[in-house]
Amino acid sequence: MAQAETIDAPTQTSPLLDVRGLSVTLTREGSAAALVDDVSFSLAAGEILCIVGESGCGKTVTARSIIGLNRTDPRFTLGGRIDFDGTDLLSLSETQMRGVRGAKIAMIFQDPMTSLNPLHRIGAQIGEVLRNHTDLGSRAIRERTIELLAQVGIPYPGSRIDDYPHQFSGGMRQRAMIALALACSPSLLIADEPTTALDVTTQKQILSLIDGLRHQYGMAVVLITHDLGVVAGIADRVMVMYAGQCVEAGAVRDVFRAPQHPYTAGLLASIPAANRVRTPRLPSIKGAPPVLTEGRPAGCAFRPRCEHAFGACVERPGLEGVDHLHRCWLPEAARAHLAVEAGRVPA
Amino acid sequence: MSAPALVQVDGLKKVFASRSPFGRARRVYAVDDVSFDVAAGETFGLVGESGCGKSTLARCIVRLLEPSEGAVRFDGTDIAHASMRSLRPLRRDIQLVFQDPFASLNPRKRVGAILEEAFRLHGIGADRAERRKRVAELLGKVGLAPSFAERLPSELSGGQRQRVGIARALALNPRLVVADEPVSALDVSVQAEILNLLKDLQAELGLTMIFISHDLGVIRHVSDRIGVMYLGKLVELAPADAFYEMPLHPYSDALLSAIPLPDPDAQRRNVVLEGDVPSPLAPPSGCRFHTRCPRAQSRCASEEPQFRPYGQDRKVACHYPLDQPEPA
Repeated sequence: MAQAETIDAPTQTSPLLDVRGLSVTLTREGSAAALVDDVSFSLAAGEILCIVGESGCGKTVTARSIIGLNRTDPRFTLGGRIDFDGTDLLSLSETQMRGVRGAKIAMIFQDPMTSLNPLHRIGAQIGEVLRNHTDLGSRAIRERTIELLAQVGIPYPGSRIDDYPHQFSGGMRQRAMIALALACSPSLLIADEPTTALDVTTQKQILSLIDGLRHQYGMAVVLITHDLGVVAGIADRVMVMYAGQCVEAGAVRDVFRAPQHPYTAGLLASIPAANRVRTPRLPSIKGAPPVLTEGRPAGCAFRPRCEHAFGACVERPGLEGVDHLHRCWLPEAARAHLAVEAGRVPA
Repeated sequence: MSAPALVQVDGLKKVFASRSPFGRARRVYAVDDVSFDVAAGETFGLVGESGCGKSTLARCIVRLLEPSEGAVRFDGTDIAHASMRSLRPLRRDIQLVFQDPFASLNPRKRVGAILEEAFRLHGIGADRAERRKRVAELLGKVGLAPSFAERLPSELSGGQRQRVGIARALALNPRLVVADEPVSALDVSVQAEILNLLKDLQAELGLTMIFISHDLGVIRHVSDRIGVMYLGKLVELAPADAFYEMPLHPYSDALLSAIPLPDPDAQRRNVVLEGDVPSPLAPPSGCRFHTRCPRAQSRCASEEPQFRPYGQDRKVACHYPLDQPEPA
């Protein structure tokens, strides 16, 4: 069967990561909410896929499910398949998963202050990963740690290795987190809003570091962000999520040049970009994203906020398209016009 | 500038002393000799990275902090060292909108009570019923239904909360609103709505606004003039259009080129700044930016550049501004 309902890595070889029909349900106080609903995507080595969306759209839950951070939490139920390097991660036991986590798949988080232990030296925290996943002796571990810190651009790594996290600036902490993630040369890095807490000049440094690492080591990256500017700068492919579902996905140029979903178009139109001439008003999307634990809108989840909603939208649309996927009932001509709305082509 | 200045900041300094039980006391110049004017009805955008002193400056202007030196003249009166009692009537004229709509609203009070408080404190409205009517009007002004008065902050979305924060600032018909990162905690689709609201209200009420943000994109869409801060100092001041066309200070240029543009084919210039912002406890000698500046010369390390008028309506603190050829 032709896989129409997924965005696949462009290579013909089997992808490194292949997520099929992932669903995550949160059960709380007797009521269940689908936080992630039938999400599929795949990723080849050396590729950067950005998952973009606003708060509560399920992008972080998707990322945490890949690395299995919510699998032992009884409130979460996971469904579907997450094939990584030929193994379904959802079928592994927690002990087996611990061997994958940190070694083959690593993750970095938004806030490097809360994800580093303030009571342990930077070097000890990186060394712990090496001790758990490799056979290196303590001298070799220290050498490798210094090498890693140098690799992520920490000045004087030989002395900074004995610093505590509070002695590092925000940008250096995120670099240390990346060094920690790289310790075992993972083939997949999951980065959840890695630059959101950083200043723009530091953000630029961190993004070019991540981009350099994937070129150098062929590491695949799933980057979660709410910033379409970051996506445009670094992604090969992009998946736009809304209310727990993929609403649009494709090569970054296709999606930015010709958005096929009114939500993507609305997001693109509403960015007060610095290269955009000031206008009296910024286009905006009315209302706010739904809170999934309070129930999702029936039919198309974006319908209450959509300027284009019509009769068909009371039914839930499926994902359509081959390389550039969209979940919208609008006819092709109307979707083609969305690029104008998004300010991508002159009217 | 034809309109008279409503706010004049003149040689403003704010020094914080850090008293550590070990070693000697250290002084941080969070704001160091900053001067600028804001004309009535104008929006002044203040931009800089974390720790550059922009929030401290805002707090000195609204007198949540007392400046260490210098003057803040509001409508001609110096309020820099005015007593709390004498500031009381002025509090109606100067209001602050905070960054975090989650932390700045009392979670135990209903929206109506939060907004009514200002009326009560300033003796506006003869009785409860009239104050409630005013609350409903105020909610209407920021695009919320009157029924929102009965809600608790926890029942509101981020955008709705920020609307309440704006309504509270507008309750007493202020002349100056200082907005400190008012949209940075919001989602993009909501951010645009709040920016539009602020612009509409400004046009409708003739507000003067000081808008603080780290985001040069957001700043562009609201500001008439822009000031860039680095390590406690203003380094550039320019009309918005001129600034985006041609920044003069190398730091402004680095900030502009670091902003991610939502276009995969945008021309990206590669001004990657090395390292981090130096500690304000020990700012570099000479020009504070010289340690990271791609154009720095030996003179920059020893001689501090004056913040001087430059061309029409502009000011810059740089020995080698960007409209000059790169020094050999």
